[in-house]
Amino acid sequence: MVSSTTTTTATVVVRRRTQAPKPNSPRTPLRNSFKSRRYYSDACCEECGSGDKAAELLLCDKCDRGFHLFCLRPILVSVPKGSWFCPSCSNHKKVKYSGFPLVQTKIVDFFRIQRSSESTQGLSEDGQKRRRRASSLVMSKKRRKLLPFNSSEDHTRRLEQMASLATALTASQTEFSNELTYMLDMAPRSANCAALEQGGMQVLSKEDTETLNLCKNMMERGEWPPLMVVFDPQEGFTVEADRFIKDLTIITEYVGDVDYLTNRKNDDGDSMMTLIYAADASKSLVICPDKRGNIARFISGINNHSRDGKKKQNLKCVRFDVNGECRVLLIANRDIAKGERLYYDYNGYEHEYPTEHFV
Amino acid sequence: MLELRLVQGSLLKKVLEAIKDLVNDANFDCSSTGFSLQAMDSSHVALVALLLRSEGFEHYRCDRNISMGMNLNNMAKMLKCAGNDDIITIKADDGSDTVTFMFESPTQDKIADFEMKLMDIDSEHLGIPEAEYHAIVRMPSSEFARICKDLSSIGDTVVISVTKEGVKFSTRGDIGTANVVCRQNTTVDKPEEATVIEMNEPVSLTFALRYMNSFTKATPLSNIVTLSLSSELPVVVEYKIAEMGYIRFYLAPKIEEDDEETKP
Repeated sequence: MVSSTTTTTATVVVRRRTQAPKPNSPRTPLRNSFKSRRYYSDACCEECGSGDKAAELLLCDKCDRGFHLFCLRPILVSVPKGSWFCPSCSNHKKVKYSGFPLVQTKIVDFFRIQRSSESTQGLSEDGQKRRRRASSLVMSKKRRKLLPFNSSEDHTRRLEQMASLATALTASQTEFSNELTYMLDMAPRSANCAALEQGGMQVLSKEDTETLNLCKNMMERGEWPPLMVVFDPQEGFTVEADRFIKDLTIITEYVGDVDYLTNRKNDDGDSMMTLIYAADASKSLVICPDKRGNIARFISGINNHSRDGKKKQNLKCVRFDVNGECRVLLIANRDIAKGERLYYDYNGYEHEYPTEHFV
Repeated sequence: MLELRLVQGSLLKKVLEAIKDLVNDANFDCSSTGFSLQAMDSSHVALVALLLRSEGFEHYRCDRNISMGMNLNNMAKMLKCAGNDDIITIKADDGSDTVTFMFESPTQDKIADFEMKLMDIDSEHLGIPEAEYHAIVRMPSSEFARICKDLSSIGDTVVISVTKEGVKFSTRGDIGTANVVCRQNTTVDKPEEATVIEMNEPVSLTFALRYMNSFTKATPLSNIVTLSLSSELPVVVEYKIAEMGYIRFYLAPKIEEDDEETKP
């Protein structure tokens, strides 16, 4: 943001060109009367983009954007006395052309996918060896699709799950957030570009993106993944499955504040997750759920140094390119029984996380 | 072993004509209750659900519940070879990866059989909850088809609103706007020409006309179409198939951008 500080007299306050005065702050009455002071040399017209003819460049009293008298429609003949608002600020009611900004929803937004009933079997089940696939290439490849989770049916159980998460979050002084957050002093959202990933990142397919959106919709409605946070004296807070979870189910997304890796080099936090591993180290991003996060930060990792460690793993942590942005999803990599503790491999790529002391 | 014999073969022909442009490949599920299909179109905006009850077939034999994956275009091509009065028999053997369609002319002097390869289609069924709809409109199917066709020449989305005045179909486009209002009308000679509106709550929803126009391809199946509308739910466009079952089309509505959850 460029700040334009032009002090003509003591009456004019230093202000940023692109920032309108906060609506609550008292406006100095002088701003209205000294119209001539408002033509700052570095303000530009929104319509034509040039800063020429500053004497005919009006600044909106609400948003501070500049407009030439002759660029406005209808054209203004002279500088108006009193306050003036630009066309968009003077429309108090939202201008919505009916039909234009409408978004087409999908059937899967309304109806849940249920696994085809056990009673239907493939016709050629018995003759598997003799089965000939249709010539269409699209159909002959059996794709493994991600599945949405099934939350617990019992309402009280769901409340208990949420309470256990709330307890854990309070204990670790973390605020709940179910989305990646981009704080002002950390990385901006634009830095999260999956194309930066060294070697490229796998793109989440259309179907799987819908499944992810379905999961997000369910969470908004209060249907949470069936997980319970428990406290273990050895492992600390850890997460258990509270219901049978099928292979390839999306458990949750790993969320937190997104920050540059370089900012966190000296951070001894234990829950940082690589978001983007870029060729240029200054662009690498990490997810830090220390201040804001969700249940994912409590899920334990396997001990990479013991022989039994790998066997415990029942989740995998996968990064996907979703609409150009990188997202981290925790997905079941086998069927998980009720009561099983969830584990995934913290050291998917870099093997930098020390896990010798893990259970 | 599967063997289904349908005397009114034209019904199956019409069914395939109605759905082949919406869905390319789908699984036909056969169970003891009947022959059914549930599939979404490629954009996942529309869903078609078909049911032909076993009672409607002259002979219905289905030993086990099976799913047969078929390319609907190919199936329609084969069914086009059947005459409108032909008796159609669908046969499939256990463990076989083909299905056979047999067409017999009503006078029994011509018999044709067509064998088609089945496909392996991984499809998931959607659970469609029984819902109380805010409004149910029953009107002649030809009238509904005509309205959809007329409105699509003006705009590409239709707003269907049901109020106590009746059901209104509106659209707007570059050249202007169009509104069609249908009032309740039960005083007609034939019951199939009546327009009946049951309204629990007024409702107004927006839909893409191109899907509506694909649904109206099922008009030859029935004289009456039933539209069930509820805010926050897809519309159900249902054509009953005489004494056999139904074909239902579900279409997801278009909603205001603010209502949609912001995608991160």
